[in-house]
Amino acid sequence: MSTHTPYGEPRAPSSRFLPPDPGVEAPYRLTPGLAFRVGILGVVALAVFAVLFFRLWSLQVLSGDRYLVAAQGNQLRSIRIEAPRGTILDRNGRVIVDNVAGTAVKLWVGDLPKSRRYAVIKHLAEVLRVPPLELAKQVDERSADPLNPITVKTAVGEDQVAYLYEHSSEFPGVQIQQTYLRHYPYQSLAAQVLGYVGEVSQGELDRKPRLYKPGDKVGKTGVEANQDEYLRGEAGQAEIRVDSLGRPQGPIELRREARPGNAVRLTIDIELQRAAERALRYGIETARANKSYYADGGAIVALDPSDGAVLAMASSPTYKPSVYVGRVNPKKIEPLVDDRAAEEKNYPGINRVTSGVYPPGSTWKPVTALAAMQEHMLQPYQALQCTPTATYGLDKQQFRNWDPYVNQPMTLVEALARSCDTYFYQLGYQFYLEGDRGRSRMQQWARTFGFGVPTGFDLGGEAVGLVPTPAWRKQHFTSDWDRAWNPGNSIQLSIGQQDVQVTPLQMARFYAMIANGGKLVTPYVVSQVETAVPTGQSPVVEQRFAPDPPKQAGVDPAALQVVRDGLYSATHSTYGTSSGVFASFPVPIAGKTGTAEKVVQFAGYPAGHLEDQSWWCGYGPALTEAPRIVVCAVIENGGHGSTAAAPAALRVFEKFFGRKATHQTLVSTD
Amino acid sequence: MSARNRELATLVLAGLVASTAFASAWISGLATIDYGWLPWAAVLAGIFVAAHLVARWTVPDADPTLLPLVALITSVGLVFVYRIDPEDARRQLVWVAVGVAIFAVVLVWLRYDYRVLERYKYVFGVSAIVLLMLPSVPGLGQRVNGVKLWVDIGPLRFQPGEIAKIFLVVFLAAYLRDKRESLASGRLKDVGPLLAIWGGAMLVLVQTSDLGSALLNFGIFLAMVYAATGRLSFVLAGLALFAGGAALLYDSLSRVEQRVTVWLQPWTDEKVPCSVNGLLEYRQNCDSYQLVKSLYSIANGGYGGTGIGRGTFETVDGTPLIPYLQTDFIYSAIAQELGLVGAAAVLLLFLALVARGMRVALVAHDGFSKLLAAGLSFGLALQTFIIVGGVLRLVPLTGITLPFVSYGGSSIVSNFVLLALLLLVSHRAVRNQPT
Repeated sequence: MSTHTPYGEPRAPSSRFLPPDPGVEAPYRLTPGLAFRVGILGVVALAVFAVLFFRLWSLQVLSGDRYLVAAQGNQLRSIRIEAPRGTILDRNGRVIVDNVAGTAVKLWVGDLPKSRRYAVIKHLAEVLRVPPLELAKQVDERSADPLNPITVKTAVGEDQVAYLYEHSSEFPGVQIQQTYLRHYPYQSLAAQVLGYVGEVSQGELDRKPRLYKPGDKVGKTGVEANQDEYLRGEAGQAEIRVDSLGRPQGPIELRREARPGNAVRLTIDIELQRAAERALRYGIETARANKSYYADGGAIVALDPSDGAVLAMASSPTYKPSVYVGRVNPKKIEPLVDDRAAEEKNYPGINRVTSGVYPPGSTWKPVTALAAMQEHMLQPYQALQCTPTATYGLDKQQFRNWDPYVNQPMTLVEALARSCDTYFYQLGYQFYLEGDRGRSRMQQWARTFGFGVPTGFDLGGEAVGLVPTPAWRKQHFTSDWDRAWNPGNSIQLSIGQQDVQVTPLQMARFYAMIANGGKLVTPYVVSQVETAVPTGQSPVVEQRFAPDPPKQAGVDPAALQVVRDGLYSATHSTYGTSSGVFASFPVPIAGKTGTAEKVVQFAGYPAGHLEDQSWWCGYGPALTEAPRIVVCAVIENGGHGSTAAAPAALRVFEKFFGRKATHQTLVSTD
Repeated sequence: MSARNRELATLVLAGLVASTAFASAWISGLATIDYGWLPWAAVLAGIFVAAHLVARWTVPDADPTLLPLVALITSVGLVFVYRIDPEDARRQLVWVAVGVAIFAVVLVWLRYDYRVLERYKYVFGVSAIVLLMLPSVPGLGQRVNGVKLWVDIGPLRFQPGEIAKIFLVVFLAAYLRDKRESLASGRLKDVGPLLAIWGGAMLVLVQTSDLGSALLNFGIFLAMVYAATGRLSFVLAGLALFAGGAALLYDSLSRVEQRVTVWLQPWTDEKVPCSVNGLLEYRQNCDSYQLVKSLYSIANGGYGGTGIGRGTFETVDGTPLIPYLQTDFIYSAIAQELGLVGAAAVLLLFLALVARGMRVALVAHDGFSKLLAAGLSFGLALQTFIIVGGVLRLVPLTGITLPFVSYGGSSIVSNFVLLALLLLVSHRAVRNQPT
C-alpha cells in the first residue's frame, strides 16, 4: 500500500494531489553562503533589538523626567456648582421652605486607591458616622460612573470637617464642599403639599438624561416635584486642573455661574394651615374622647370659593420632610416608601385631601336635593313626611332614619337642617322609578358637580372617587343580583352611602359651588413663580399660574338658595345637626354634617365591619353673596359628624375670622 | 537530558515566572492577598503542558527553548491584558487555548514531512494575496480606527493579514528554493513574480491604508529574496521601489501622511487642524494623543517600573488614557509597569526567540526549510520592531500586533502556527542530520 516518496517518509497525507518535486530533497549547494546570509539577517534582527533597547533607555531614563512633567497637570476636571433651590412661600410671602448652608462630604470614586479602597471607605464612614457597609455598596454601584462624585453626607459637623482637613492625605478622593440643605422652619406643616426632595433616581435619570446628573437633588412629591423645573435652578460649572492622582494643580476656574432656583408662592396661608392641622388633631382627639377609639387620621381643606385657591390643606397622620435632608436614615423614611411600614403608620405620605376617598354620607344630601329640583321632582317648599323607617322594593327592605323619634312633614330646608334620611330616600326612590334613564340622572348631576372626575388640582395625584351607576354595577359585579340596579341602590345613593366615594377636595369644591352661586372652581395651590430678591423688595413675578375661570354648573339659582337656607338652618336652627357647634360663632357659618359608614378592616373584627367616618362641610360668612371660605373636614373612623369633624372645622373658621365661638355643645347627630 | 525533558524543565521555570506575574497583578488589583490567580495560572500551565506533550509525540528532537519562550511571552501578555481588562483576558485565554489546539493540529498533520507544503506554493501565494485583499471587499471588511484590517464573517471577526503573513513566507520559501539560481543570475523573466508581489503590496497599502502590514510583508519578502539570492542589489532596488511607491502614494494616502506627521511632530505649540473633529487643536490633544500618552506612560516607568498593577492607564475619572492599550499599545503598558528592566527583558525574550529561529534556519539542510525558518523568524523580528518601534516613536506608528502579547484572536492563533512550523523544521534538521 505505502508508496515511497522522495520525501523519505511513507504516507504523506496528500501525495496523490500533486507529483512530488525531486528538487526538494536536493541538498543545499551554497550552504556556506546561505548560512552567512541567514546570519546577516540574524545580525540585522539583533541590531534592531538593540536600537529598540536604546530607544527605551532614552525614553525611560534619559528624558523620563521631561515627559513626567509634561504628563502632569494636564487634566481638567469639571465641577458642578450646586444651585440653591428656590424657596417656597405662603400667600403672604412667609417662607415655608428655604435652604440653609451645609457642608457636604463628597467622594470621587475614581480617586480611591485600588489597594486601600475599603480601608479609606471604612475610615471615612467612621469619621462621618455613616454605615460603612452601605457606603461601600454605594461606591461599588457607582464605580462605573467616576465622573460624578458620591455624596457621602450632607450636614457635616464642624469638628468632622476639621478632622478631614487635617488628615486630608488619608482621604484621597474626598471633597468637602459647600452645599444647600432644605430647611423646614415649620417642620411637618403642609408636608404632603410641599412634598420632599431627594437624590435623583435611576428612573428619573433615564427619563431626563440631559436635565439630571447622578447625585442631583430633585423634588419627589408635592410642590417640590410639580415645580421642580422652577425650583431647581441651573447648576454652574467650574474647571480645575488636576494631576494624574486627582490632586488639584491650580485654582478653580469658573466657567458658568450657578443660577439659583426661583421662589414659588403658594395660595396657602401658613397661619391658617397651622390652625387647620391643629384642628385636625383636635378633631381626632375629640372623636376619641367620644368613644370613637379608632379615629386615627383625617383631612381638612379650606378653599377660597371665589376662585378655588387652597387656603389650607391638612392631612393626618403626617411626616417631617426633613427626614430626606442630609444622609437619609432608612428607618425614618420607611413609612413613606415601604408599603408595610406605611400601613403600620397609616400612610403618612398620602395627601388625604386629594387622594383619600370616603363615602360622603349626609354631606351628599345637597347633591340629591339639587338633582331632584333640577329634574323637577321636588318642589322646595313641598313637605314630605320624615318617618322613622321606610320600606322599599320587592323584598320589602326596611330603611331607617338615623333619628327614630321623628315623624313629621318637612320642607327641604328642614330636611337638610335635621338631615332626615327618610326624606331623601323618597327622592332616591323617585329617581329609581324614573326607569332606566332616570336611574342615572342623579349621578349625571353629581358628575356635573365634580364628583367621579378629577377636580383639576394643579399638584395632581388626585383620586377620582366613584359615583355608582347602573352601568357600573353591571360591569363591576358578577352575580345577577349584584349586577342589577335595585331600589336600595338609589336609596343608599340619595344619602351618600354604599358605593359612592368622594375625596375631601371634591366635596369642598361642591360646597364652594353652593357658596359662590353655582360656579365650579378649579382648586389650585401654586399661585406664581418669582425671581429670588433680597427680603424687603417686592418680588419679580416670572410666571403667574392663573386659575381656570370658574365654570357655571347650570344650577337654578332658586334651587341653590333653598339648599343654602337648609345649610344655614343646619348650623343655626334648634334642631340643626351642628347648631351646637356653630350657632354661637359670631360669623354666620352654613354647613352640613355627615356620618358615613365605611367598611374598615381591623384585626380581630369580622370582614365587613363598619366604622363611621365623620364629615363636615360648609362655608362662611353665610347669608352673603360672596362667602370667603369653604371648609371641609373628615375624621377617619371619627364617629358622628357633629362630634368630631364639625368642631374641627370650627377651629379653622375661628382662625380665619379671628373670632371665637362663645360656647359649644357636642350632640351626636347625623 | 533529552531535548523534550529540557523543554519541560524550562517550561516549569517559565511557569514560575508567569505565576508570580499573575499573582502580582491579581493581588494589586484586589488589594488583598487572595488565590484567585491560581486558576488562571493553572489553566495556562495546563495549556502549555498539553502543547509540550504534543511536541513530545510529534517533534521529539525539536529545539527545546522555543516553546518555553513562547509560553513566557504569552503569559506576560496575558497578565497585562488582564491588568487592563480582565474580561478581555478571559477571551484571550480562550484564544491561547484555540491557538495551542491549532498548533497541535499542525504538528500532527505535518509530523512526517512538512515539505509537502512546497507543492502547493502557488495556492499559498494566491491565498496570501486574497487574504490581504479581503478586508477591502465591500460588505466583508470592517474599517476600525481608519484602517481596514478586519473581516467580519458572521459573528467572527478576524484579521486576515496575520494568516497571510505565514502563507506568504511559505510561498516565498518554496518559490525562491525553486527559482533562486535563475534569480541570482538575474534572469528578468523570473523577476516578474517579484514585481507582481511589489505591486500587490502597494495595492494592499492603497486598499487598506495599513502601512504596518504592507511594511511587514514587503520586509519579509526582501529579506527572503536576499537570503535566497545573496544579491543585495535586489534588496536595495526593492527598498527603493517601496519607498518610491509609498512616496508617490503619500499624497493620496492621507492616513499614511498623518501617521508620518504624527511621528515627526507629535507636539505642536499652535493649534493645527484635527482630523478627528475637524477643529483646531493642539496635535498632542488630537491626532497624536494616543502616541503622546503612550510616551508619557513609558516615561513613567523609569528604571524599575511602577510594578504590575500600579501603573496609571486611566485618568482620575476612569477614561482610558491610551486608546487601544491592550492591542497596539500593550508594550507601552509593559514598559510603564515593568520599567526599563522589564521592558528590556521582554525584548530579550523576543530576541531569544528570533535567535533560536535563525539557528533553526542555519541547521536546516534543505533550501525550503532554511528559507522557511529564516522567513518566519525574520517576520517575527520585523513585526516586533515595527510595533515596538512605533510605540517608542522610532518609526511611524502602525497598527499591528505584538506577537503572542497583544490582545487579539487572529494574531495569537497565527503566531502559534508559526511556532509549530519552526518546531517542525527544527525537528527535521536534528533528526535527519547527514552523518
